[in-house]
Amino acid sequence: MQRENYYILLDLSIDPPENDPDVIETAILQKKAEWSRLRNHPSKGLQVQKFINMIPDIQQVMHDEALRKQEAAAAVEVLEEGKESKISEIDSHIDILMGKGYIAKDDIIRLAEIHGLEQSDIQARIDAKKSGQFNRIDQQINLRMGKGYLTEAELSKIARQNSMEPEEIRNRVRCPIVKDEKDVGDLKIRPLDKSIEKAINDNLKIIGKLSLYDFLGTAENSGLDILQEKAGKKKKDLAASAKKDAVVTASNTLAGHCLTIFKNNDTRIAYDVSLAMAKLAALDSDINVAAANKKIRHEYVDLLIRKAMSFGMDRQEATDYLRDYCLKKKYRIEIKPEKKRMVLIGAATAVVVAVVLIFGVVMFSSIHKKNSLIAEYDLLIKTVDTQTDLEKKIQILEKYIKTHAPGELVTDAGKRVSGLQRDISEDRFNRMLKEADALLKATDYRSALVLYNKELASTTDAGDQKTIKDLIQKTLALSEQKDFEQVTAVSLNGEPDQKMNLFQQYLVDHPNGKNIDKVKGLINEISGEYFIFVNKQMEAFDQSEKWEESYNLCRAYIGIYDNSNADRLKQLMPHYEERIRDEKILTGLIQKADALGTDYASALQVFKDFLMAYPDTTVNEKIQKEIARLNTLLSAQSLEKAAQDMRIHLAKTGGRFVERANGVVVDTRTGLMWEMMDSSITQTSQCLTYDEGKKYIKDLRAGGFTDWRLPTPDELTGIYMIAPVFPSTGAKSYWTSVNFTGYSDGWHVMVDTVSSDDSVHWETVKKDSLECGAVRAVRKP
Amino acid sequence: MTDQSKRIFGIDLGTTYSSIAYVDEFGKAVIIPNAENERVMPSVVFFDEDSIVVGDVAKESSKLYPNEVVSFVKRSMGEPNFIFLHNSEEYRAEEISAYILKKLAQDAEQYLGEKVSDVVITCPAYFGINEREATRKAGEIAGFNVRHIINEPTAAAIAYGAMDTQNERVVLVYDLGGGTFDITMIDIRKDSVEVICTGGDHNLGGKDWDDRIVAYMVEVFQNETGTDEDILDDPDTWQDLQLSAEKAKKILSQRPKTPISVTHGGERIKMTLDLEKFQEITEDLLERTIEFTKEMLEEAKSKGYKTFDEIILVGGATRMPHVTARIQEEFSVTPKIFDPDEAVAKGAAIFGWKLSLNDGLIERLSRKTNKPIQQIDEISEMIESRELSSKDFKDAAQEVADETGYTLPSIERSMLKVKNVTSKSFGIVAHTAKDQEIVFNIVLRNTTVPIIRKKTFYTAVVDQKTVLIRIMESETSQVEIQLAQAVEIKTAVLNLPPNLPVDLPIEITFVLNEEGRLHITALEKTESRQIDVMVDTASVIQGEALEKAKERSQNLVVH
Repeated sequence: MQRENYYILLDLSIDPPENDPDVIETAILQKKAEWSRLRNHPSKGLQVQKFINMIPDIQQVMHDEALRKQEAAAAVEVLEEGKESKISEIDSHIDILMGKGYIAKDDIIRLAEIHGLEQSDIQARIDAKKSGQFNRIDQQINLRMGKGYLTEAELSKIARQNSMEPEEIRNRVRCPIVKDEKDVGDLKIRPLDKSIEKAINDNLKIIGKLSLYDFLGTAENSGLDILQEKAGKKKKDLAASAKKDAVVTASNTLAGHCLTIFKNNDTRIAYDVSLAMAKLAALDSDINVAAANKKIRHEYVDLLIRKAMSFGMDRQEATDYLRDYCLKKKYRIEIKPEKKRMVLIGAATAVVVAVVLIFGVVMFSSIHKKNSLIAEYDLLIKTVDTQTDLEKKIQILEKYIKTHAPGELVTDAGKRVSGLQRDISEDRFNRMLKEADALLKATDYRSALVLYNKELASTTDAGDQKTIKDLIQKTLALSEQKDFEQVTAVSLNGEPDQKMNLFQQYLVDHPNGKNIDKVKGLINEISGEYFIFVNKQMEAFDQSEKWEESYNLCRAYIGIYDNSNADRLKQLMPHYEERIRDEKILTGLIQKADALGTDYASALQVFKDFLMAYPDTTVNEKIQKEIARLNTLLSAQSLEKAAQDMRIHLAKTGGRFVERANGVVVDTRTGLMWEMMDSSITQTSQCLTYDEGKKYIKDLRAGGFTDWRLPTPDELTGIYMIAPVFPSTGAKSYWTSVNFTGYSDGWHVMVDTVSSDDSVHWETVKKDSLECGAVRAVRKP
Repeated sequence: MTDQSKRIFGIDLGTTYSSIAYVDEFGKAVIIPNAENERVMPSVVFFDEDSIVVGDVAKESSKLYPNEVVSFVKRSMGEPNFIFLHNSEEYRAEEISAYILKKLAQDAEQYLGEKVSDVVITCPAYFGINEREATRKAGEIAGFNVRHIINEPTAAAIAYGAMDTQNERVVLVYDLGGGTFDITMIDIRKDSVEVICTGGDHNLGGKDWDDRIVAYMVEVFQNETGTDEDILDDPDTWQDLQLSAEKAKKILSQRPKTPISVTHGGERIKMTLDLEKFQEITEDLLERTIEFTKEMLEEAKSKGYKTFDEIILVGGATRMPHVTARIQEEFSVTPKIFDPDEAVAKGAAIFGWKLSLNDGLIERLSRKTNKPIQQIDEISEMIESRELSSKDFKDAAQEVADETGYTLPSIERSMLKVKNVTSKSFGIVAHTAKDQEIVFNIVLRNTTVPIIRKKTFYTAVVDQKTVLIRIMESETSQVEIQLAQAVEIKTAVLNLPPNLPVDLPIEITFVLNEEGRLHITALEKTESRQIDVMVDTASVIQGEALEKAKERSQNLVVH
C-alpha cells in the first residue's frame, strides 16, 4: 500500500515546495498535537494512530534535502493521480448526459465544476470514451442479492442472458435461492447494521482492502468453513505480530468482524446484501448528477433506467427504484412528451441546431466571446426567474455583478436588483401595516407603536415615512386615551402601590399627554395614603432584615414628594445605609472564613478580630452566632483528631483493644466494651465532679448503646495496669463505681479513683466526689 | 509506622478510571475515596488555563472544552510521538498520567493525614517493556518512590486469593477494563498466587463498546436528519456523544433499553437503544475476547494446565450482562463478578503491604536461625521440612506485629508468595547461516519471572570497537521469528575494550525481573571483563524532558 505524501499530509505548500525547516517543524508539531488529540476519536482514531506512527519517518524525510525534494515531486504526481481516479466516475456521468443524444457546453461546464477539473479535461475524456463491457454476470447477481435472496426464475434469466448453464450461475450465488417469491416469507433476512457496515468500511480503508473477502484473500463465493478457517488463521497471525500500529489494530477489528459475520449463513447474507446495496450507491450518484434544478429530463429517465438495468434490475424494478429515490430526494421526473410532437420538436431542434452551427462556424472567431456572455446572462436570468425568493434573486444578480466587468449586462442586472429591492421594501411595508392593524384592533397600541417606529427607522421612502408618522400620532392619541381611562378606574378603588405605579407609568408613557395635569393631581391626592403604605411595607421589610428594600422605598417616596413625610423618611436613610453596609461586611467575613476551609481556628479569628475593632456593629449578634457555630466545628474537629490519634495508639496494643463501632473499643482480654474517648476529651471541661460524671454516663450514647456505666476499680486497673495498656488521653484521674459517705466534717462522699501523675503509673486513690476527675465508661457487650 | 515498614499504597492507573488503596491495621485492603468522595476517579485531565483539574470535573468539562481535556491517555503510554499541546507547552502521556497519580495521592494524603510516598502501580499484563517503563516514569514524575509495577490481573487475583486462602484452585481472570483486555490463568495456592499464562489486547476495552454506540448514534442522526455530514468532526459533539455512549452502556448493563438524545448543529433527535441492538453492534468485540481466551487456554495446556476451576470477571466493562452469558455459553462455567472496579487497586495495596512486611520478617528469621537472608525464601516449605521452627516464625511475626501495629494473623497472611510470567518474548536481531536477518528469542513469553538467560556472541573483526544489539519484543512462543513479527524496543551498544581479537566470545545476559523490566549485562569471557552496556529507550520520556516534567509536576497543584 502506498503511503500518504508528507507534503499533502502536513498541508504544506507544494508549488513552490515549502523548504523552510522552521515552517516544516512547526507544521509537524501542529499535526502531532492534532493527531494526538484525535487519538481516541471513535472513527478517526485508527487513521491518526497510523499518522502518529509515521512521525519519525516524516521527520527524517522532511529534514533531508534530497528526500524532501523527491517528496515534493511525488506530491505533484499524487495530485495528478487524484484526477485520474475520478475518471471512472466521470465516465459514468458522461454516459448519463449523452443519453439525450449530445453533450451540451453547459453539461461540460457542470461536469468540470462537479469534478473540480478543467473543461478541456472533460472534453478529452468524452473523446477518449469508448463503450466498455461490464462484468455483467456478477453485477446481475449482486444486484439481486440486495434483497437477500434470488429466485429460480431470476437465476435462469441471468443464465439465458449470458448464454450460460444455470448451474454455472448457481455456483456464483452466495445467498438462498428460492423457487418463487412465495417462499420468501420463511427466510429471515436482516441487513447488517449501518454502523457496523461503516466501521468495517473505515477499517478496510485503513488497510487498503475492498471487502472482508478481499481482506481474507478468498473468493466471494467461498464456503463458510473456508472463511471461518481463514479468519481464525488471520487472527492468529495478527496475534503473533508484536506491532500494535493502526494497520494491525484495524486488521484485528476486521478479523473479529469476519469471525462474527462468517459464523453462519444469516450474518453472511446480511453482509453480502450490504455489499450489494453499496453498489447501488453508484447509481444514486448518477441520478444526482442528472437532476439539474431538482428535475430529471425525460431523456435521462430512460438512460437511468437502462443504467439500473445494467446492474441487473428488470425494467419494472429499475423504474420503481428511480421513482422511489426521486421521491425521497424530492426530484421531479419530467414526463416524456407525445411521440408526434417529439418528432416535430426534434425536427425543429435539428433545424435550429443546424442554423446555429452554421452561424456559429462563420461568426465563431469574432463574436464567440460576446455571444457566450449573452448566453450566460440569459441563463442567469432564467435561473432568476425560476427563483421565487426575492432575496435569493438579488443574491444571484449581485454575485453576477461582482464577478463581471461593467457593461450593458451588468447595468441591466443592477437595474433588476434595484427593482427587486423596491419590491421587497414594498412588500415589507404592506406586511407591517397589516400586522399593525391587527394589533390596533386588539388595542395593543404599545406593540403597534414598536412596529411603526421600527419601520420608520428602516425605510428611506419619504411617502412611507409621512404615512407612518401620521399613524404614530393617531396611535399615540388612542393609547393615551386608553391609559387615562385605566388611571381613572384604578384611582377609585385600587391599592396605593397599584395606583402609584399606574400614575407614574402614565407620566413616563405620555410626557405630553392631554391629561397630564389631572394625573399629577391624583398623585398629590394620595400622598398620605401612599406614605402609610410605604411605612407598612418598611415595617415588614425591617422584620425580615431586607434593609435594601426599605431603603429603596424611602428613596422612591422622596423622589415623588417633597413634604413633611418625605423629611421623616430622609432621617431614616442613614440608618438603612449603615445596616446595608454592615450586612455586606458580614457576607465578606463569611466568605473569607469559608475560604479557609477546615481551618476553623483561623476562621474564628476573622470574626473575633472584626468584633474587637467594631464592637458596636449592627451585625454583632449574627457574628456571635458564627463564632458559636465555628466553636462547635472546632471542637468536633479536635475530637476527630483525638480519635485518630487514639486509633493509632490502639493499633499498637497488639490486637488487645479493637475498635468495634465508631467510638467503641472492645478489650479482647476481658470482653468488656469501653468508650474509646473519655470525658476529658469529649466534654468542654476537663474536670467533672462525681455527680457530673454520673450524669455524663447517664447521657452517654457512644456506639448507639445506652447501658454505659462507671467501671469498677478492678476493671479500670485491668486496662491501665496490665500490658498492653489502654492508651492515655492525658486525664490524671478516673471515677469508679465504688463510693461511700463519711461524717468527719459534714456530709461528703468519697470515691475510689484510678489515678496517675504521669499517665504511666496508675494506682487506686480515694478522692472527694467534688474533686476533679474524668469518666471512662464501660459496658458488657 | 517505622521507616522500615513504610506504608506502600496500591494504585490502579486505569484507562478510564483510577483508584488508590491501602491496607489498614487489620490487614484489610481499603479504597481511599478522593476529595469528591468517589471511590474510583475518572482518568481525565483538564488543562484549565493555568491549573490542572483531574477526575469528574475534568470529565464533565470535556463537553465544554473538548480541546483542553485529555482522556484515555493510558492507550498512548510509551508512544513517543503522542503529545498534548497546551499554552505552547508539550505534555507527554507519562506526564499527563502523573497528574492523575498526583491527584489520587493528594486526596489520599488529605483523607489519611499521612504522606503518600511509596506506591505499587498496576498495568495491563499485556503491556510491553516500553509501556511499563512509561508507567514507572509517570510515578516518578508525580514524585513517588515506585516500589513495583504489577500486572492488573495478578493484582485482582491477589485480592481474590486474599479473601479465601484455604481453597486451592486454578482461576481465569477475565479483565475487561476501559481500554484493555487481559486474560490470565492463575494458580491460587495456600501460600502463593502463581500466574501460569497470560494474553490479551491493549487496544480492546469498554471504550470500544462506547465507540460502537457512538457510531450507531451518528448513523441514526444522519438517517433522521438526512445529512451526510460527519458530526464527529465537531469536537463538542464528539465529546458529548462519547459521554452519552458511556452512560447508555452503563444503563444497558442494568436495563433492557435506554433513551439517547443527539444534539448537533441546532438539531436534536431522540432515539432508543435496546440491549439486542447493542449486542448486535458489539458482538465481534466480545468474540475477540473469547478467541483470546481460547488461545491462552491452548497455551496453558502446554504448561500442564488442562482445566480450570473458576472464571472471575474484573474491570467495569464486565458488568455488561452479555459478557457473562457469552462466557458461560463458551466455557460452561458460571463466571463470578468480583469487585470489578476496586479489586485491582486493592490487590496492588496488598502486594505493597506484603513487600513492606516481608522484608522485616525475613530479616528477623535470618537473625533467629543464623541463616543468611538469601536462604530464607520459601518460608512455609521451610516450616514443613522443619528447617524452621514454627515458634521462631511466630516470634518473628509477633515482633513485626508489635513494631508495625498490624495484628498477628494479618502478618501471617502477608507471607503469600506471588509469581508472575512475562507476557512477551524478548530476543535480539541475529543473522542466520544464510545471512538472513531474523529475531532470535532469548526469553519466551509466559516464562515465569524473574529469569536470567545468557547468549554468547563473537566479535566479527580485529579490534572491534562496538557491538550494536537490537532488542526485540514479540508475541509468539517460537525461538526464531521474522523481523516483521517483532518490534524493536531498545538498542544496546557494547563499548568493547581495545585490541580484541576476532571471534572473541562475549556473553550477553538478559535479566528479566519480576516486574518485566529488562536489564542487560555483557561479559568478555576470556579475561572476564565486564563490558559497558548502554541501553536506549527512546520511546519513553527521559533526560531533559523527564527533568522538565518532574519540575513542572513539583510546582503544580492538581484540583
